[in-house]
Amino acid sequence: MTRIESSVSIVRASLWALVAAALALVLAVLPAEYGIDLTGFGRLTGLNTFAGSKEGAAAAGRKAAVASEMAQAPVGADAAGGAPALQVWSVAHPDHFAQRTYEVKLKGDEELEYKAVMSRGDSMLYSWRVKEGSQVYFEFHGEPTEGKWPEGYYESYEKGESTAGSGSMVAPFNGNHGWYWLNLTDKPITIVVELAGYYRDFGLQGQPKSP
Amino acid sequence: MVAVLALVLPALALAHNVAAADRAALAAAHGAQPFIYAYLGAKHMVTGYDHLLFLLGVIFFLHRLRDVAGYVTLFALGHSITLLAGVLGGVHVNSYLVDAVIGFSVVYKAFENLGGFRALFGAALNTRAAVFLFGLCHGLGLATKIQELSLSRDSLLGNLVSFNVGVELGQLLALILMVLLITLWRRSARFDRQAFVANAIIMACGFVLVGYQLTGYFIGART
Repeated sequence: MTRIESSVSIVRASLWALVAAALALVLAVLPAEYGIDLTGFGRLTGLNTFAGSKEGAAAAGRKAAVASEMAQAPVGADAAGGAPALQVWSVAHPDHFAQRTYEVKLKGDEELEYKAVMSRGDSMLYSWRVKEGSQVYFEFHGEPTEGKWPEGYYESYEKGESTAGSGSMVAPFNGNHGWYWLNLTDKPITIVVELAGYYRDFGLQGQPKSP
Repeated sequence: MVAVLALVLPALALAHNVAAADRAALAAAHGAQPFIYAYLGAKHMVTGYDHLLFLLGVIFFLHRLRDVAGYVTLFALGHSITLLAGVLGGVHVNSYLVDAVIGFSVVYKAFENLGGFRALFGAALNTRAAVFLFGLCHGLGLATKIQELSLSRDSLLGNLVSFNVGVELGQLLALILMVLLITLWRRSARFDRQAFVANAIIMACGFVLVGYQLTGYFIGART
């Protein structure tokens, strides 16, 4: 230290730092990072909107992310040809839902895409796991097959590395919805996929895009 | 001060996690990849604002380059130990808690720079021991983060060493810039007063980090 400050001014500076930090947290960081908007300032400034779409906010955030992605932009669906925004909590169906277990085999270092055909608003429950317990890189996503969409458009629901995944999804548009898997080991693996819901034709699809 | 914090921190928060694209790149890479890992290590350091804030605090009042080197070596030693041991031993610590401790280390260092310990408690803590100790914590944070990437078991040690080398290089790069700027700043007649304010700001940033990470821990995101 080149200058000795009095205790009073040090304490005062520390308290100011604490107050400034608390304000920055409550007004900006918490709304922006976690969508926790205690004061309404986040909504006022729009800071809270990007809390959901951020990677790293998984778990609690992940559900919000899917929900907000589905509520936003193309899904809200003026892009899909002027259809109204998807706000349906119950969809009745004339048919019984499909339910089946599939085994997907991947060679060492191989990448594959398995998808099902689903209509907008239809839902599916899923669980998949790598039998051998090894890691795969995956991306759960959907590609629209009807309506006006940008060339090569797809919507990513979830991606990462894991040995398993479970969840539920509501198709944001008519199209193919499913997984890209990349075997991260050099040994063959089998992925066991259980699906239940309103989907058709779950199977291998084309050449996978690189992630 | 609030405005600056509010503007800067959320934007930076994105930089902290190893980016998704980097993960995908790593997922596709197998075996020993010294350059990829070294680059990621360096990138993590240069964009890891919590580490940088702590380093800034550490070197703020060091005049001689020899002292800078001494402290930074201690810090590097600390985080190398826990990075290697953490990953090799498969130690998973909740990254929110580690990051909260790292935020706290920023607060601690800034408070010390303000002269807080001397003025309020009559004695300064052993700074070298503290820097080493927090180095251990920072390494634990790095270890937790690198384990989020899928690491191929073959040539794990080599890749870790590469990552660590990258961390040191990135740190060196950041340090050179900081030391240069502070040396220039020190020539100014108002340095003493401004340094006091600057450390109060650093402390505020530390508090924000602590609050941000603890909130994340309590709402249970990302774990």
